[in-house]
Amino acid sequence: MAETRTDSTTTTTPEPQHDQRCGEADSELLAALEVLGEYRAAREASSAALRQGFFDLAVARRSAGYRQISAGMCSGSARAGATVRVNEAAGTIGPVRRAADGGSGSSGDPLLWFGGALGTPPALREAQRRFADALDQLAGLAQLTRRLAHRQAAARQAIAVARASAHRPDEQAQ
Amino acid sequence: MNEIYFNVDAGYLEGVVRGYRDGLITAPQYLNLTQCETMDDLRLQLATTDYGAFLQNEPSPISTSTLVARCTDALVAEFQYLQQNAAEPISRFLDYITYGYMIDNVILLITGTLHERDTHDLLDKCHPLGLFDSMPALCVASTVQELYSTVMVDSPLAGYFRECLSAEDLNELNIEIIRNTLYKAYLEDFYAYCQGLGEPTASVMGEILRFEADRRTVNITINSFGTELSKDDRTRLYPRLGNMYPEAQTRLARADDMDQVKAILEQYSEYKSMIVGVSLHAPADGDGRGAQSLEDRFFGKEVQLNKDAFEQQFHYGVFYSWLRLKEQEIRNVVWIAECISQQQKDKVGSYTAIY
Repeated sequence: MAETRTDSTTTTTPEPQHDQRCGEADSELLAALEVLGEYRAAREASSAALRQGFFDLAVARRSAGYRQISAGMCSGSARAGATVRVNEAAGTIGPVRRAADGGSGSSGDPLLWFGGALGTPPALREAQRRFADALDQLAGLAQLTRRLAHRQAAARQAIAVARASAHRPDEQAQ
Repeated sequence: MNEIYFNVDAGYLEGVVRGYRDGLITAPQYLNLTQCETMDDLRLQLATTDYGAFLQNEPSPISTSTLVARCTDALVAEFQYLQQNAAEPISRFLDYITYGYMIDNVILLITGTLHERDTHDLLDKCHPLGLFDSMPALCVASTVQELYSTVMVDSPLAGYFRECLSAEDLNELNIEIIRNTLYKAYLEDFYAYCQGLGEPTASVMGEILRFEADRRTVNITINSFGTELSKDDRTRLYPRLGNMYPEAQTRLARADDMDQVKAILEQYSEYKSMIVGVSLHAPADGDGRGAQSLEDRFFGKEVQLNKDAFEQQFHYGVFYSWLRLKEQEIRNVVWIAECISQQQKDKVGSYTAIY
């Protein structure tokens, strides 16, 4: 008899609310997994670009000579040719911006440090292209890392809310 | 008559250099090197070679830059032993070999100074075989005239500057033109000197230097694609010797891409077999023994010519050939090391085996 009375006094059933919370948690989790998939793809692409870039650099050094293409030949007045603006407060990372003159001080193209207009083998130019591609991908990877962190936090919160809503029907029954 | 008197001046040194030749890494040793998993394994395998003594005091893990430096030290020690025990006329021949390294050092110093590098750092980076007394003064020159009048006039390279004096400022393009002009003059002078030494040195060195001139012609052509270098300037940088002089050089001067270069080389029997199956646009990929690059084919041809030099006796070409084979060996070892450190084991087979 008490159970019937208990049943008849309830105005909203807890299951639909719990189901709604679970649905939201599922959506957040799926969104986080999607961003994780994008992150893994971007990471593999940037790793492949860097790997190939270092290999092309090894080919260029074998071709032109290990003294000509070495860290010691880098310009003492080098400036960054590409920059990324990071806003810590807002938690955002901007796109890669490249200097109009190619950076690198007065020399323009950094390839000129390693043999000028004629002494650079094609493999070195290819390595430069791959490192430039890798830089763009790494900036995108940094942005994805931020998005992934937000998605993970949102998914954890939604799961916690769903778990909390799962305990309330038991408490009310008692 | 050369055979009778050769051993008086150069017999001991020829014996020494043939001993050096026998110390070159063989194909089974290369196989062991390619199977190494880490740089420490590689160093362990190199301990039984000529480089073992130079690597033993290096701390682990060893880098490829350190490997290059120590292997070069081994080469320099052996060559300097030859120089210290050489008298005329063999000493002059050995000096001629060092002029190529002097040109590289001069250009390295000028380029480094232009890019605001420290003078002492640059001097440390010079090749030991190409050092001469007035080198530190190179860093203060800002024009070619100044370079010549203050520094180079007393150096062995003075005569090679004659064709460079029209260039005024030392900027990146002019420096490269100067490098190639100096090397062109050096190669022509070395060739004429070797022809003057008589047989068999003249024929052995003549073939090697003609091939070197042809290779430089092709490399200048390929490297100049997409640069500011005009076709007339390109022609002026080609050495005036070699199988490609003058007809093929005239045609290569007008080439605009790799396909045209290949089409020109295919018409010469010496290079037609080298072009077959070559990949023009990329280094060796796949299993490392797949499509070779043109550069790999040039390395292979150079190794063959230098090995053939040891088949004759009583000539000076063995000294030059040993040095080039040793440099190729260092390239091979460093290539294997790069593939190991970069986890690119599928590319490790792209070295040019010597023996």
